[in-house]
Amino acid sequence: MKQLLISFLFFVVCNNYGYCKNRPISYQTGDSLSYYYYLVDNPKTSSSLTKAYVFFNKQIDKSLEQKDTISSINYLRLKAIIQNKLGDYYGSETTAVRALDLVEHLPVNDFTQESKMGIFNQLGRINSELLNYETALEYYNKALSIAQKPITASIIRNNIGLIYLEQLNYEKAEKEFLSAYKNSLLSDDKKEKARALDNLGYVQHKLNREASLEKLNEALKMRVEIEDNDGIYSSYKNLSQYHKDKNDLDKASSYANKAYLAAKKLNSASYIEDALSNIISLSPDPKTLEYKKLKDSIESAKQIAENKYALIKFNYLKQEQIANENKILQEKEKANRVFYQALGVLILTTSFFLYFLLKSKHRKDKIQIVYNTESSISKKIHDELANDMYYAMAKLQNDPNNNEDLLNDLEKIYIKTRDISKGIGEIDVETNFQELLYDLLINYNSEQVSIITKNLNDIDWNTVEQLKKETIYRILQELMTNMRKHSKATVVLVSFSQNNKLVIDYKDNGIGCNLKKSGGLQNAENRIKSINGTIIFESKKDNGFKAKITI
Amino acid sequence: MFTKVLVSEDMDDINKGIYTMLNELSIPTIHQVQYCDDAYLKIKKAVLDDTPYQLLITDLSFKLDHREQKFESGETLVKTINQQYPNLKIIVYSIEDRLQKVRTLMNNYHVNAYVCKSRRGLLELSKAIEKVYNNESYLSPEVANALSPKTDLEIDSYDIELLVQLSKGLSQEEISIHLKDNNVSPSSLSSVEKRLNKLRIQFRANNAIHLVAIVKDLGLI
Repeated sequence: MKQLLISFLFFVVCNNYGYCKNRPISYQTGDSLSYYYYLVDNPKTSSSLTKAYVFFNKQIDKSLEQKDTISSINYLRLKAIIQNKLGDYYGSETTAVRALDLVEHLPVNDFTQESKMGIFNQLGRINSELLNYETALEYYNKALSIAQKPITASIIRNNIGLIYLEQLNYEKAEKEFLSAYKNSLLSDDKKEKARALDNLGYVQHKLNREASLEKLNEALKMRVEIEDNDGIYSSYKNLSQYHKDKNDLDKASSYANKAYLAAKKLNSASYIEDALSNIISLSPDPKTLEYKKLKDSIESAKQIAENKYALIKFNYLKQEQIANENKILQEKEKANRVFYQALGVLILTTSFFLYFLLKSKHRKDKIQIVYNTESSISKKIHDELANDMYYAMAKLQNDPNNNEDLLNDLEKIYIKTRDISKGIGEIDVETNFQELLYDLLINYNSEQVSIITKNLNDIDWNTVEQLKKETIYRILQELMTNMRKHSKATVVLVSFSQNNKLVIDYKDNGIGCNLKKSGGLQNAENRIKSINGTIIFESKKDNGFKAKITI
Repeated sequence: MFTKVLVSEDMDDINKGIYTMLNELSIPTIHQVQYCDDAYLKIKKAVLDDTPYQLLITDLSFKLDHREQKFESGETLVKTINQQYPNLKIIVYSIEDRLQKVRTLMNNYHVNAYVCKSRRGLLELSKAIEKVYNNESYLSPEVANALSPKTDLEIDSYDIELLVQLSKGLSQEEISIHLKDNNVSPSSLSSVEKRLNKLRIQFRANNAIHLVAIVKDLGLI
């Protein structure tokens, strides 16, 4: 199938101005692909091309999706041909350029060279339709530069010559046709030979060269021989023109009529219309001639206007498409940007979170280790030192000759040892912290000093972390010990409040203290810092001592 | 007085002191053990022999040595005895003075007395024995607070209200009326009087004026 397509595309190259070979391919295969190929070249109804257009558009999408570049190129070329036929020259140009783009991404080989040549030729045709002759020539020359076979060179040179002919540049046209003719001789392609010869004859006639009529007749003879109906029509048309130029209107009319019959035989509306137009141009009636001239010029003006309009429309559509694409691109970029921003923020917050989590965990671990160490030291002091001390005391007490002073000193040391042990000993803050705090405070309640609490029973300790509870216990213990040792206070108020944070206010009516931090207060401050809390001390001489703990 | 007492204590000198003290109380049968496991076995055997002990005096902490113990501390021993021989009276004699521990032993394991080892420990122990014999309980002064009601230290909003009204110069009668008007109870004159007295003692104030001065200084009102 691919082979079929390529040869089909090759022959499309020459399908211009009615000079072409007969279809060498039989479209007998029943599949839709060959059916649509056939439709492209032989549109039956006005909608045939549109149908083919839709079909090949789908094929393009499919092959692009499958990354089948070769098929994509072929289908794009077919689309360009259809668009050209439908008069959508600018669309056709875009499609052809797209195909070219794909070709240029492929490594150079016979297929790509062939395709490239075909596409350049197609672009030349489009531009010649648009009357952009210079551009068309450029494309043809490019096509020519990569044309390898004499037959293709011949076809392209023919196309070039036709442009010069349109431009009434007969000398250059002659050169091209001559070259086309020489190339056709090399290929031994009779049809192409006849075409080149016919065109050469015609242009030489215009240049008043000798033997131009012979060439035209020779070409006709060849064409009749090979039954090239398209060619026959062209020959008759050129011969009619020849005789018209020679003012032999009889002969001119005769050939014009023959051309008409050939057109009828071809059963092509455009050929018939062309033939009739020629017949009319031979009419002796000046009004008829005037009518034809006028109509031609109006049509040509109309064509130019249409082309312009088509260009504007095409540009507008292209702009719109670009705008849409940009918009989609922008949306995409925006979405991407938002996504990456969100990702960035997420990573940032996660790392922050992790950093602080780990830091806080590390800190907590450290504090916990400190507490654990303290507890084990406390236990040792209690179990070993304090106990031994007590046994020593008991021993001394049992001694009938005991020394009271020594016993008193020993008791003091014993109590101190126990206090140290208690100050750092293990505390069970989990079970009933309220009771624990109460026990702590009531221990300091004595004949000399009243401890008063406010809202102690209103705090929900379940929501407070264990480490914080331990810290609170230790700080209150420090404060109370400090109070008992130095303050001479008679009343101590400890009030609790719990909103977002837990706040504990300590106040006594003692003599106050020098805020140069004593060991105990420094300890309290260190402890509270380690759990991100604050403690504020306030003291005036003889005006009590205050501490505000916020956790 | 008790006639059969078991002492579970691992330190010889303390044992000596307790023994002397128990002798002074003229208790005829005094058995001493140095391991909780031994204490449990003796108690069990005595019950089986139908000559049960009447009182157990035990320490809480025992030094671990080569002998592996089923009961590692006095607390586990006390717990078991309480379950199996609820009639046996128990006095804990320990260096431990944490109120929570004391409270647990007294309330949960129904220990009859808790005596802290201190210089006056033996005196207190002897006092405790007499009290327990008379079916009373005893706590050393260091841990006496363990069983006090927990509202002792706490002042509540009612107290604050009284103090606020007092600071405004209201007499006790006027405060009583004010409370009635505001549907606060108790509002009777006697309860106001009683509560203000309690506050005066709590804040160590000599009179109402002094009381207001103290609470103002403390920032309570």
